[in-house]
Amino acid sequence: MMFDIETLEEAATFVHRVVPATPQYCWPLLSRRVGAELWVKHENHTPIGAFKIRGGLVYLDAVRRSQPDIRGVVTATTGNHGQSIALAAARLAIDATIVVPFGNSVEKNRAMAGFGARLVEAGHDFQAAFEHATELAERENRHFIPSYDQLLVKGVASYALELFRAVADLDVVYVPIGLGSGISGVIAARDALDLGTEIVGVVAENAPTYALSFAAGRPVSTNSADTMAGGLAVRVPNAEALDIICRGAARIVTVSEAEMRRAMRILFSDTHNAAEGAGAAPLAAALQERGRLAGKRVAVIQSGGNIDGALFAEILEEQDEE
Amino acid sequence: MEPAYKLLSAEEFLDACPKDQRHYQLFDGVIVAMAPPADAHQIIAGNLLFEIGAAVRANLPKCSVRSQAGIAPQSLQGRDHFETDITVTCEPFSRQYRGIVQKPLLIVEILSPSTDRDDVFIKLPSYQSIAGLEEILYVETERIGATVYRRADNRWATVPVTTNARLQLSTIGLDIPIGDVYRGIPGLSP
Repeated sequence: MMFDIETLEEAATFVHRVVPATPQYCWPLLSRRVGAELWVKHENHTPIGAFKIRGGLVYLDAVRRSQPDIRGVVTATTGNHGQSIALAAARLAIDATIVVPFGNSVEKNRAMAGFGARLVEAGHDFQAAFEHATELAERENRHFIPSYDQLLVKGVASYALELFRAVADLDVVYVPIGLGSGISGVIAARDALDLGTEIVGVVAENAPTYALSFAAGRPVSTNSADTMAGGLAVRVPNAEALDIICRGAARIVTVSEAEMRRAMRILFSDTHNAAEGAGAAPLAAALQERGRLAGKRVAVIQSGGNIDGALFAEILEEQDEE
Repeated sequence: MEPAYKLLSAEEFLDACPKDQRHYQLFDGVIVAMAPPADAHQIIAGNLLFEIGAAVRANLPKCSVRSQAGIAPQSLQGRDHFETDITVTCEPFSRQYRGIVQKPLLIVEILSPSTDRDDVFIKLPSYQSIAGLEEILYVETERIGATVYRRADNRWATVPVTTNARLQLSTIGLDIPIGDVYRGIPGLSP
């Protein structure tokens, strides 16, 4: 077991001082589509529109306690992790520098800067931005924040505690996998509560590193992660997250770009919630697995709603054959 | 807390590599799945196989041209196992090496935005360490152009091939306009 229940509850109490518990709703239209009692955990309703804020709060609080004189923090991101660190740092009056690759989402960049972070553009992709961020942290003597860490997991596990306590006897929960903090948190909460719920990871077909690694039982990287779901665009798995997933997940489902886009349209038409690609991927997976869910109580984690307006408009315009 | 996943040798990689439709390589002991090649990559590979095949048949009839051959630069005990786009070798055919070319004469890699960092910074120095390898050809896919790396006096000379130049590979006696490599690609085809 990663964390005992007391540790997770303590972290959740801390998170709830800033982020109220998000709702989980059983949506009848979605339930009908999936053929099961379908609940959506609305992590798109946090102050940054994504679950990551929970981890950022816990991480930075621990950093502040262990390094009271900290000069500032640096991290690399393409989106929600950066917003999380920007907001959590601002709350503690810590300088935050967020390194993003050139060509990153203008709307996400604006949101990070809006929370008061210094935005630095460097590199052609996340890996290049990451390398720049580590150099910058060393050069400016600032604390570097990784994208995966047990403190981040402890924080994000709070949404899973909320879900498991609000909805009893869940049979299956579908969770998107980026670098793995979200699914690690859900597994941690499930185990701490001693539940039998199946945890199913969801990855993009074009970014299948965790699916390949899960199948192989060891890290398998990919040479590209070409998906519109930025939250799933990971090429290299984190070894610690992979170990947790291999031990705690029932399986990993791979969804196509078309399935995610359709799930984004469905979430909007059936619930009027905007979902980013990663946030819609769990519903896409549940729809794909409809045949095995009949009569079950199922939850999907809508991990975030931060989708650029132009892309969302384009996706909503697409027609479904129904 | 960090689990210690064992880094694989090339030999262990050949045993552990997933048996599915994907192609895999081993970089520093870690398995890497390759995305399917893009359209331009496929066309360039076809054109080069045709041209290189013809040159080898004419000039090196005892040698063979291999597509997607395995290369283990530090032997089966090393931590790299790469898949080349095209390899020319004069070693006799043998199944005992499990698809790995032991003595490549020429290696060809077709670059793409997702792989060029690995191709240039990891694979190239590794290839250049292989004894007996005489030429390495790196071909661009986004624009017309290539680079020939040629061993000369125990050093590697770099020969850029620009838009209207001829592609010359001295190991196999190939001499063609570089544009021929891009035949069939809209916007790049001569």
